[in-house]
Amino acid sequence: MKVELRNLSFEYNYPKALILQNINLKIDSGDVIALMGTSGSGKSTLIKIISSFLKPTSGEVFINDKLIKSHKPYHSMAYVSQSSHKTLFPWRTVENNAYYPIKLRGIFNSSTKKYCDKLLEILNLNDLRNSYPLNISGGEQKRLSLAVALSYKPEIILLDEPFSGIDFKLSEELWDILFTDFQTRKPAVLFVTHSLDEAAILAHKVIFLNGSKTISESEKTILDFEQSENIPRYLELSKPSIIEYRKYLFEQFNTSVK
Amino acid sequence: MKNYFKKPKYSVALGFILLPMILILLCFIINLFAPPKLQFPQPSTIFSDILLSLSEKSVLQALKNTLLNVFIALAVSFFFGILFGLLLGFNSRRWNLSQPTVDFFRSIPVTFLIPATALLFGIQSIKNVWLLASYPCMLIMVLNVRAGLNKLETERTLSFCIISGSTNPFKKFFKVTLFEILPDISTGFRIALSYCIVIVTVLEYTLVGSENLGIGYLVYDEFNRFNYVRVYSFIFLIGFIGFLLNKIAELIDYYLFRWSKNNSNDFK
Repeated sequence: MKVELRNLSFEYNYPKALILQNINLKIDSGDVIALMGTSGSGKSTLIKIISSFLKPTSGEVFINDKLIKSHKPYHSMAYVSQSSHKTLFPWRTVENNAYYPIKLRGIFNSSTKKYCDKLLEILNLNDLRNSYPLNISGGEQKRLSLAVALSYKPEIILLDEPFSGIDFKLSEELWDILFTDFQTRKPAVLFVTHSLDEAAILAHKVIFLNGSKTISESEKTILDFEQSENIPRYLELSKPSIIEYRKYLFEQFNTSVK
Repeated sequence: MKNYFKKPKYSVALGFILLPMILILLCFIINLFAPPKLQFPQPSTIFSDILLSLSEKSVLQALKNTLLNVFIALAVSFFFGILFGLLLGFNSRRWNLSQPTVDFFRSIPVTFLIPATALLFGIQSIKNVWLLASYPCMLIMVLNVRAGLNKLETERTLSFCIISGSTNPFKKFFKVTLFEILPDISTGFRIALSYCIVIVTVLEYTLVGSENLGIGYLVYDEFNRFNYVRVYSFIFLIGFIGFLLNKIAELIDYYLFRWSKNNSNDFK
């Protein structure tokens, strides 16, 4: 699995604004990439282009060497929007939203159902199974979006601020859920975040979208440390290597903003 | 005590009590200023006359005709309204082209179109009250379908494509778009329903030559006989029918679309 962006540029028409300029990026299976940058730097736009929601002004998106056309998303992809209520189906209950992808894909059976049920349980949505998305809170909608996204085990996962609106304790639990999923299934992951902690804990590589509309990258390997797989992710935050890496990311972020 | 009446079910119950009270008060105020010969009948007289009239075969037949006209007009406007709404509203360019025409025609009172209807569909057609009534109701449906399409979340449709792994336009329409516009169709139906009752009864009043005489005609007839108690009875009867039908439509909307934005707050 390989996602490749070639000389990608994007310009909004009203008002006219160049958001992305000549972006080149490769994401392979098992890569977890965090996308950081100031507000309006084009993070969400980049995710929307890969998801085929937006058409790039110039440049191309290839998935497995196949050109992705506008509004024709790759078949094994998940996308969690910043405004999750817009991607959920309000006429379906929480439970039916979670089951919907596997039902639509014709893979609804006892094992996939069990997996969905497990996701709902882990994401603390069990008590809300019969509620409708518009009757639950923003954080709960976000968790439901994650359940929907993970339910069919996609090869590519695009997450736009997946932890915004979720309390810190639950975020830590979600880090573990996602980390385990990423480690076991090895999907190609691109996630937008404003948190250095999330980027340091979850991503193999952090990409900064800066003011000059181009990108700079920082890889964990630069600092040469290993990730521990058997401890909760948040405990990693106190490890000296992560503290050092976090500091490095902070400096990188400041440099990219300038 | 104050909080007690803040509960929704009590305010709903209070609304039901308030209606007859307002009617009685209205009778009282009108009678204060009206000369003795034009006095408004006592509410009790009107209500007992309504009950009495409902035992008369001719009134029941008229009621049946009115309701039939309302339902046929609604069915026709529902079908063609959704059809035209989808055809015109799905595409912004098509909508921009058709909007001036829609706005022009919806400003014209339906009674003014009687001659045009006679020319278009033949002189006999104006006896079909439902045919004329369905036209303004259809425009209401068209506008509501368009409003629903205008609010479509493109991100949701794309999300459907992503989670289903399919970009089939029929699937997108029947599994996403249709559901998204259903609450607006329902709102349009409720508006059209109230409007339809008004239009049908006014047309029955105007189109005296109509074959199936409805309650509107009975108002005209009793008015010419100076039987004012009956006139008011029929007017109140129309109000009660409208109220009842609206309540039914409201309940259907509430239970079918409780997931929609309009109803979601009631469940919190």
